[in-house]
Amino acid sequence: MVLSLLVNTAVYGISSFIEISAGGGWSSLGYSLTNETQQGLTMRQNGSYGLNAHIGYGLQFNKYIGLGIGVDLARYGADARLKGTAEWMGVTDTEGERYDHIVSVHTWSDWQSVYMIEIPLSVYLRFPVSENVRVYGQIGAKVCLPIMSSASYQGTISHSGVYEPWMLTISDMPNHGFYTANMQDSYALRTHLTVAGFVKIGVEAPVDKLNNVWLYGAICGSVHFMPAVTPDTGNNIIGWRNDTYDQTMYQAHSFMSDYSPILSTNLIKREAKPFALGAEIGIRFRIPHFKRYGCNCERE
Amino acid sequence: MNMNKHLFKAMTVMVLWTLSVSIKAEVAPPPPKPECQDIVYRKWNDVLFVDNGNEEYVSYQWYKNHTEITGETRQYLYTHGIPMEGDGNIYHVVATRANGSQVISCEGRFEDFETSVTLNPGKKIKKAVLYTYTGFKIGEWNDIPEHPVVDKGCYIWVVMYENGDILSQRILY
Repeated sequence: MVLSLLVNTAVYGISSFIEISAGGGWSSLGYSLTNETQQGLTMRQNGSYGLNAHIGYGLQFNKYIGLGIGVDLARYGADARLKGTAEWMGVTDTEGERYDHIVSVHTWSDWQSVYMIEIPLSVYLRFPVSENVRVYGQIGAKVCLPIMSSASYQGTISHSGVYEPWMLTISDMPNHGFYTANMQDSYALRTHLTVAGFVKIGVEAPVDKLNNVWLYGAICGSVHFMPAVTPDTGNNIIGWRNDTYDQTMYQAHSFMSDYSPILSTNLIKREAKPFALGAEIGIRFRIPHFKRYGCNCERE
Repeated sequence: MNMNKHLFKAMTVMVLWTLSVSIKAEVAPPPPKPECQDIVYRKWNDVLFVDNGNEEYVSYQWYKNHTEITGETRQYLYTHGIPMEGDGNIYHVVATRANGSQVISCEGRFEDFETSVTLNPGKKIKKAVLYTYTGFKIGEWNDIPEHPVVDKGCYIWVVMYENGDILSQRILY
C-alpha cells in the first residue's frame, strides 16, 4: 500500500486544488426526550434543517489519495415538540383547598439552533470510473467552534383544576389561575467547542478541462462526539408559571416553576451531541502541477 | 206539579254535588313538593358548584331568583370575578341524572351555602425556606412569597407543613 502510494506519487506527482461548496439537509442537536417524569406528555425531537458552506484546500498525492483542510460554516438545529398534560397532584389553591393542577399543552414547540465554524481535516480516496468521471470518498474529523446560537419556545397551554372529592373540573377562571394562554419567549444557550467526525461520498466531473475546473456533488454525514449545548442548570421539573400575570396568578401557581427550557429539564434523556445528514454541491479548481522534475542540463 | 217537584229535587242534588266537588277540590292537599338537597357548595366569592362526588349527575341548569340563567349549564356557576357574596340573590340548581330524573338543590343566598375548603383543606404551610442551588439559605417565610429572589436561576424550596410533612422542591425563577 505504502509502496503503491510512493510509486503513484512519483509517477503522477503532487497536485493541489481549492474547493468551494454549499450544502443542506437535516440536522439535529442530538438530544432525546423521555416522559418518565411527566407521563401525560408525549414528546419528540424532530431535528431541523442543516446548512453548510465550505471552502477548502486539498493536496492530491497521486491518482487515488489526497488530504484536505478547510473552513466550514455549519448550522445545526432541533425542534422539540410537546403535547398532552402535565400534572401537579395535591397542591393548594389560593383559598387553601386541595386540588390537582393540570396543564394541557397544545402544540408546544421549543427550538434551538447553533451556528459553528468548523475546521475539517480529511483524507480523500478517488477512483476513476471513466475518463471524465471520478467517484470519491472522504473521511475526516473537524474541530467545531460555536459562534452563534438562538433558542425560543412558543405554544398554547390551558390551566385547569381537578377537585377530586367533588368530581369537579374547573377551567376558564382567569382570576383564580385557570386560563388558556399563548406563551412565547427566547432564551440563551450555553455552547461549547466540540469535535466531530464526518464522511462524504461523491462524484466529480470536469466542467472546464482546460482550466481544470471540476464540479462535484456528495452526500455527507457528520456526528459530534461531545455535547455542543449544555444548560445552565439541569434536571429541572418543567413548569408553565407565567409571572407576567398579576400577584393572584403568581400565588395560584406558586408550586410550579417558570417554564424551564427543554434542555434544562428532566425530560432530557441524551446529551446534545449534534449530527447531520445532507448533500452538497461544489466546484474544485485544480492548481497546476507543481512537481519539480530533475534538470538534466549541463552546467557550464 | 209532581214533575216540577222531581225537577227541583234533581237540581238540588246537582247543586249539592257540584258544591261538594268544589269543596273537595279546595281542601285537597297539594302534591308533595320534591325535597331539596344540599348539593351546592361555594368557593372564593364568585363560584358555586355541585358536589358530584358520586358521579350521579350529567347535566345542570342554574337559577337566580327562580329564573333560569341562560347558558349556565356547567357543574359550576362562575360570575367572572363579580362577587355573588352579598348580592342578595337567591341561587339554586337543577341537576339531572343519566336516567333523566332530577334533583333540585336547596336554594339560598351565596353565603348560605357551605364553603368547600373546610371539607377539603390543602396542607397549610408552617415554614418555607429557600436555598440557592449551592445550599446557601436565602430566607424563611410563613408562606411562599411572590418574588423571593432577584436573580433568575434554580433554587430549592424546603416547605414544612403544619401536619408535619416536609416538601423539598427545585424551582426555577
